[in-house]
Amino acid sequence: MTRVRIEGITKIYGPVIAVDNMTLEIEDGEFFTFLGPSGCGKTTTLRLIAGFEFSDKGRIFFDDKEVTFLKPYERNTAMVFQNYALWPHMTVFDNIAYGLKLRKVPREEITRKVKQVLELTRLEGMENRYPTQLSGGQQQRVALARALVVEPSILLLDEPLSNLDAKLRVGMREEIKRIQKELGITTIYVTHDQEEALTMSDRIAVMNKGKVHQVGTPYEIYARPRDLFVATFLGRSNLLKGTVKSVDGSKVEVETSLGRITGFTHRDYIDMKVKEGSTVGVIIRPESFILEQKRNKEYNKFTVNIILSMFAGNRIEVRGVYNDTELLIYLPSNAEIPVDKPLDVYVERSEILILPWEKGLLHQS
Amino acid sequence: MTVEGIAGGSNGVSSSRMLLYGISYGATILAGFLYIYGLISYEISLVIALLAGLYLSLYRYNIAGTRPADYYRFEVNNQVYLVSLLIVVIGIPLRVYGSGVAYFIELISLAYATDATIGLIDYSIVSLRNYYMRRRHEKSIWKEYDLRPVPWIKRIDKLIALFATYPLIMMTVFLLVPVAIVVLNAFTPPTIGPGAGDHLYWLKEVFTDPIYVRAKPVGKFIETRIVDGIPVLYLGGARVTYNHGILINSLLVAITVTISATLLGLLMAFIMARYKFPGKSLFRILVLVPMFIIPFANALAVKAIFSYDGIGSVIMHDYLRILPWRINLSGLAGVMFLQVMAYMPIAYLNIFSSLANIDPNLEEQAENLGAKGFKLFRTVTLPLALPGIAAGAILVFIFSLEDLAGPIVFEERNLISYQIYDKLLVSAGKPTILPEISTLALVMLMFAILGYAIIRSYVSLKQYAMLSKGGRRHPRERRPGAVGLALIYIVLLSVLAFASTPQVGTILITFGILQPDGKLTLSQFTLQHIERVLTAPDVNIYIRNSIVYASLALALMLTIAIPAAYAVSRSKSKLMNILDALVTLPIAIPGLVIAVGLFFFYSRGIFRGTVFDPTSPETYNPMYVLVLAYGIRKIPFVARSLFAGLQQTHVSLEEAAMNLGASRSKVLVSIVIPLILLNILSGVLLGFIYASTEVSVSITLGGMSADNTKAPLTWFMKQTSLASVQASFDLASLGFVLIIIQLIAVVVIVLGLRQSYAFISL
Ligand SMILES: Nc1ncnc2c1ncn2[C@@H]1O[C@H](COP(=O)(O)OP(=O)(O)OP(=O)(O)O)[C@@H](O)[C@H]1O
Ligand SMILES: [Mg+2]
Repeated sequence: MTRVRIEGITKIYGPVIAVDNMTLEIEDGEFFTFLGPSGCGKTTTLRLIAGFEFSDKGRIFFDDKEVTFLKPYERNTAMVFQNYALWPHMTVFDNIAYGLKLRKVPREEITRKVKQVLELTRLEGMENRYPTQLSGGQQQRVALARALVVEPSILLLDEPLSNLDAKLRVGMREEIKRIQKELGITTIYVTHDQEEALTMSDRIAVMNKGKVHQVGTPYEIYARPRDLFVATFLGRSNLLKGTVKSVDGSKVEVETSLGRITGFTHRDYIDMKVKEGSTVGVIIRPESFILEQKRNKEYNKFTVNIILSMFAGNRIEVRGVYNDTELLIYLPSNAEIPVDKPLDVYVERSEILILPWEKGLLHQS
Repeated sequence: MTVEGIAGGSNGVSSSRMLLYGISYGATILAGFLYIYGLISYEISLVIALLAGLYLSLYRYNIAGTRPADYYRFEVNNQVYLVSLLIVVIGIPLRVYGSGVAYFIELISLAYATDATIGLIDYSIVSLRNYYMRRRHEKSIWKEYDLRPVPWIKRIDKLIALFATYPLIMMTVFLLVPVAIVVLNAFTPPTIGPGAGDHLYWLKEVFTDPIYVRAKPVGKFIETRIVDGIPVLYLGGARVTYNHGILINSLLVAITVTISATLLGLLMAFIMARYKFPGKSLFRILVLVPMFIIPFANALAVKAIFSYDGIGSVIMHDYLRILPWRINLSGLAGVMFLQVMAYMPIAYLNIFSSLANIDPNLEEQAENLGAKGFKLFRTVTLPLALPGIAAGAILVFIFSLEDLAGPIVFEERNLISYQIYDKLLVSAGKPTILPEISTLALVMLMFAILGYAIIRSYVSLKQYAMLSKGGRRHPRERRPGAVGLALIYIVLLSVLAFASTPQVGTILITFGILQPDGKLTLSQFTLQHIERVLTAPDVNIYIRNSIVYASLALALMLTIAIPAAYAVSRSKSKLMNILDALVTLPIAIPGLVIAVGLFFFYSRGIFRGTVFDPTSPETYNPMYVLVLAYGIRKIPFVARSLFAGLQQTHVSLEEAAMNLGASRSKVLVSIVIPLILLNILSGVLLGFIYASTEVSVSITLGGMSADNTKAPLTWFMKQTSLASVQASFDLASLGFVLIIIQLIAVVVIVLGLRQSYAFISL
């Protein structure tokens, strides 16, 4: 229905740069997610798109129409708030019908549309209840219904699931995705939950401190992170600091505390940020470790001393130490893990990512 | 003196810090003693104290410069410094124009001079530094990002702008301008005579004339005499009423009343908030009784009951034998007693709500750590309740200063309030106006601000914010033992009986059971008095007037308070702080100051000779002036109520509506107003009560028309309080009518709207 184009927007609150020179495009009908740690500017971005705040620089377009300074009520977006923001003095029906009444839709039409959206969100029979008489999940769906019923050109969702319990959250995730697919509506979703982002989105923008670090499909973001922030923010990973010894095509050899490791880097870093002698980070996902090499593939071999092994259902989580460096390793749950004994594990070279080092990175293992 | 050092307990620096403080304050104290023994002049000792402050402050800046975190600590003390500064500012003129109290105040001002300097310098340095660093940082960001500010015309929310502008204009024109006129007038020099051309002439008069400031009081405050063989305790003076000069009298009354009312309020509030006992819900209702506002009737009742053969005296001396004498109240003592009764509930309500708001965890935590009993109260409960205590005390202090009913009924002329009232009436309709009116009004304003600053200095706003988050859900209530229970009943009953004297007396007089001279006449029960005030056209016209004026004023209040509260709570602009302060300000300005200001305001310029002009009795119609005055004066009560409602409604409720296509005005009508309807209604009821019982402006400007039938109810009540015995019955019956009106309002607010019937919390 609508394409969103963001051109270099920046938003500053006093000394805080909430959104830092953001440029990106969101496609028609796309499920697009802003993902990042708390305080990185996700909500601010959403509020700029909805028109609750105005950017200090840059422009925002819906299709080819500039909306940078339009008031919220002139934009035809619909937002689902984190706290749902249902009006306590109105019934479910009135809450949902509010936007339609503002648009001067005839009465019967309103009734019909509300009924339709109640069905879509599986809320039949609740129209005469007040928000306080609903469960968290139901309230959440009313908020969604209220936003959808006005057929907005863009649907905005700010951490809509964060107030729900874990089980409900998974259910609602599928529900939202289903509805979005059914209506084909351009959707912008904000979350700090990576699982949510990875499972629901067509594309994800990973943000930190107001900056967009990478935009891409969930697979790209996870498997081919552009930088160390993205690599460490998504999933769990082992990060090793090292110095580049040699570069051959996109294949890079790095000297680390675990010895020489060979992996790959992005093409455009070669001879720029990744060249002989430069400091880099080596990313090894814990699930990349295997116990036996296969033929025709090149591996890095690590001999580690197992200090801890935890059974986690579909896998065993193992902590191994080599040269005072600890590694997190996932192994198949049927593997036999000798504790306090050395173990040989292998990682295929193509699974190891070499990225330019960044100072001040908060890394998680 | 206040000594609040750099980060308490930080090591290393502390010994040198002690030395530093020793030197600075030592110098000040030495200077003070030298001055007392006449070895140096006041000016020199003051300079020494100021230099000591300068030295300390600059030195502190030096060590703190490397540790900004410590440095910011100083900001917390601003309020204390403000008080010190005020004392110095007042101390100097007193010295220059010398008077009886000057010496005393000089010593205090000396003591505070050091602190004042430190505060001023610390404050300037910190704010300048903060401001400068912030600006520099922000500028560098803007430059780095090559930002251009969004044109303000695009940013601005038109409705909010409109909402902010209208109350700003109204409050400025009808509150600030009149007060400014008072201040300007006070400094207008006489044109002829000894003080011609001297801008400070009137102020000097007021601070030096023995009428205003007496070094030694006249009369005795407490005196016992035997009358007809019965010992009588004369409070306030037997033959000659006690008089220490008008200014000192006013301060004495205000301070005594503030302390007593606050202590009683604290006692009651503590019992009601912290103990569980049979009949508590009954007491909850009973505490509402002294809250009913019945101007003049209350004074009449108290005067009757506590005269030497009044029923109160007789019961306590002759029947219960609690007291060895009968009591006779007069003069200042009468005013004090009356005010303590009238204002104790204000202290109670504020303290109770802050006690109820304390997070029970905080007290439990302290108990865990071993605090018990009085220690727990002193170290945890009391400090946490301090904001409520301060708010209550401030209100009591200001209400006491401006009270007129007490002085008028007890015929105590030697109070600032009475003097202003008297001089205003004398000036009415005359071309020349007594110039001391403005000066006295200015002095009253200064006292009010000073009292406000002193009380407020002990409570910082931050503390309050922490408090109001506390959970209200699980109040901590203890069950007292048998002795405790008896004590609780005794305290509650006696305090309530004391505080309800005016209301009970008024009701008894209304029904003829009590005579205006204090004698009990059970046999003379009658309904004729109440019937008369409701039916006699020469009385009920005033009831009607007040209802009309108060209703119109209420409409005005809403048109100002709704936009103001909305703009303040929904806009992030700094300008809103000013608006917020402006709509709260009327509480801090004594009503008489406003009355004096309005008197001048409406007798000039475009108002001259119109219906607004109180100096032109033929054309003047008090309705217009009163509606405007009530509307502005009582606005804080409505505004606070609305503000509380708005704070409880999350902004996202409004954003959700805007997001769905509703304009601001549509949001206001369909979302905001319905959501805060209960607060609006309770604000409306409170506003109505406060407007219809307003005294200061009503009995001055309200009675200046040639046509007395346009005056408001409180004016008429004042008239009756000065007249015959029959008039006393009228007065009491009118008080009864007011009680009934307020009773209905309370019931509606508390039961119907489930809001708290609170005066205000600052
Ligand atoms: N109205 C405001 N005034 C001042 N600073 C603000 C304001 N709104 C946001 N900020 C600041 O801007 C930054 C980004 O805030 P934002 O709310 O966009 O974060 P977020 O990514 O949504 O975080 P969260 O996941 O915690 O919701 C934060 O540092 C925040 O403190
Ligand atoms: Mg957020």
